[in-house]
Amino acid sequence: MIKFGSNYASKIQHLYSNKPFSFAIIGSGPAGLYTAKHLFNDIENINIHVFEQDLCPTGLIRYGMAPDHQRIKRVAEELLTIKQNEHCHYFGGVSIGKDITINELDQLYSAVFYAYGAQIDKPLNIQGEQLQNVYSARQIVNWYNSHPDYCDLDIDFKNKNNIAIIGNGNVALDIARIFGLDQDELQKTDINEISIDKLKNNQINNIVIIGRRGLVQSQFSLKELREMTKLSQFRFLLYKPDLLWSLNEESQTECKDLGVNYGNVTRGNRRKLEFMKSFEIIEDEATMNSILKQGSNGRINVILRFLLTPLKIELKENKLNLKLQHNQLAGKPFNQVAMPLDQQSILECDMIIKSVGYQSHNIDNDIPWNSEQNIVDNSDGCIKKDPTKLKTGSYACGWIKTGPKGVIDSTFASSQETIVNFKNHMDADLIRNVHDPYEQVVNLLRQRSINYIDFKVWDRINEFEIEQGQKAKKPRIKLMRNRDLLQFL
Amino acid sequence: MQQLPQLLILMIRLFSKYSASSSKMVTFYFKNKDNSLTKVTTPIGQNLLQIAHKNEVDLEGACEQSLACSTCHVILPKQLYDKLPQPVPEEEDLLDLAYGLTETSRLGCQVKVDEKFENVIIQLPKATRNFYVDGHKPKPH
Repeated sequence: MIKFGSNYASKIQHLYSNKPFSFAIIGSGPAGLYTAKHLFNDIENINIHVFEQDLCPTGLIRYGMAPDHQRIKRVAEELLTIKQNEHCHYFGGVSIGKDITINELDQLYSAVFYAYGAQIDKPLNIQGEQLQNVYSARQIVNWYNSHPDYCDLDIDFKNKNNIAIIGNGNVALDIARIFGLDQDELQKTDINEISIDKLKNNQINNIVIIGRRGLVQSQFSLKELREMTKLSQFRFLLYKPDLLWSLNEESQTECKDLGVNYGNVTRGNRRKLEFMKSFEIIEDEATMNSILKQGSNGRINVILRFLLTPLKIELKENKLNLKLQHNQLAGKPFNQVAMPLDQQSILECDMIIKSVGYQSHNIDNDIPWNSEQNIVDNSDGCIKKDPTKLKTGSYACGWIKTGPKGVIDSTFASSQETIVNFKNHMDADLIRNVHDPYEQVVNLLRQRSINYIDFKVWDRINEFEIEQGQKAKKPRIKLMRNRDLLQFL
Repeated sequence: MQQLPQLLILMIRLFSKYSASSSKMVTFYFKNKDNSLTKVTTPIGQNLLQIAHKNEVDLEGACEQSLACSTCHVILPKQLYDKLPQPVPEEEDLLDLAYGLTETSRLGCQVKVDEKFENVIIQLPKATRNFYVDGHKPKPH
């Protein structure tokens, strides 16, 4: 192999070979681990400590990605190769902002990388959200992924015929798909037996997925949609009046080939629209009502609705009544918004799932926070002290930097950009040398009586889970409770 | 006794060298994110992601070639792109999500190299300031 041109790794090694640097990374999801891996690849003589609030590492790979998407979950193994490096330490079960403060990290390390993602739900703020059988997507996703905080979720599917999902991103499709898997398909996942028992033989006839804007502005990807249409148990349906309102001139412009300035946005829109043209169409309200009232002969109708905003949820005769405001699109192409029409309707259902997106939150008052966008205040990944000055030595990667948007690819890309900018700061000699603060951190945690899991403990847990899984012909059987996980200490 | 495994390794190496030279090889370049070039010589039939990994080219392959992500996105020269078979719809779906998509973008795991790759340059996409993420709506110019 011959390399031409500049080679960043050897450059940084040359400049700093004898002086160690020590970095803290907050969060062990895709953004944090990707950052750790690439810092080790690019810079010699460094120590990295990864702090994670959960005991187990990998964040959304373990607790967010769909349990029937095991191949993509294997990215965790690749990212966790960092644990072979003796200069890499993992502190699982440590909450930054609570157990250790940001100020303490700033003093202990050469640089701190914020990669703690988006841990709360975007609020819907409507009446009736707290009613029984109304859940957030996070609750559902963490429940079927065996997260210790959610595995005891009070949920059952008895007589739940019609489910409404508010929000039409990929998470909404994930949930609909998992709800529709048959027992054989469920057994091939790493969903725990308690959840499988509840999910199997459910009586779901209809899943109505509701978007605020039109079909072209829907957030799910064609990849997820195509995959789901290949499963024979789902029948996809659109509603004619939605389509008429959705496909205004502006939305059609959003599907045109407008050249390179639009990246893949219009291309994605165009291909998705083309694909959805093959779906069955519900002609009118009477047909819709009869579909929602009848059984579905073993198949699940997935009805994609558009231009509806939830107003409130009421409990009437044992049914949840979701009151919806009808919208039309207004504004220029790519900036269209939902404008309320003078029309409302009621959707009667048995369960409602709010899937309108995740949101990041401030975990420590000393973090410079952009409260408009709910992200760490940053410029291309460099955290800002105030509007004009950078907080050199502090960086943001993944969703805490960009907001909770996009798939793992965009998380990698955004983290890559941060690393490039950070290396510029190193080249400019803005980052101070710090010897490995491992002993100090361990002492601090001991003084504060905080139990944590390191990579060796995680390896034992991981091995155990996979071994248990093999016996049951599953990818793994996850330990659901913190006390079970802590037994491996 | 200790020399035996070494001898075995040597024999395997010689054999693999011989067998490799009997199958057709092709030489081409990866243009890395920092604009440096990596020259690779490889038997035909392997895909670009496999070749990148063998040659320490920094191309992610998050989903292990299962067509579930677009982290192995590469950009081909137009002449080469036009000569290759069309990507399947599932690959196109993932390209929709790739950042920095171009008209000659492909997923590395889906492109097998052959004689047509001799001397071409395969570009890795750069992490630019204005990368697109899902839901990002650029303003018209």
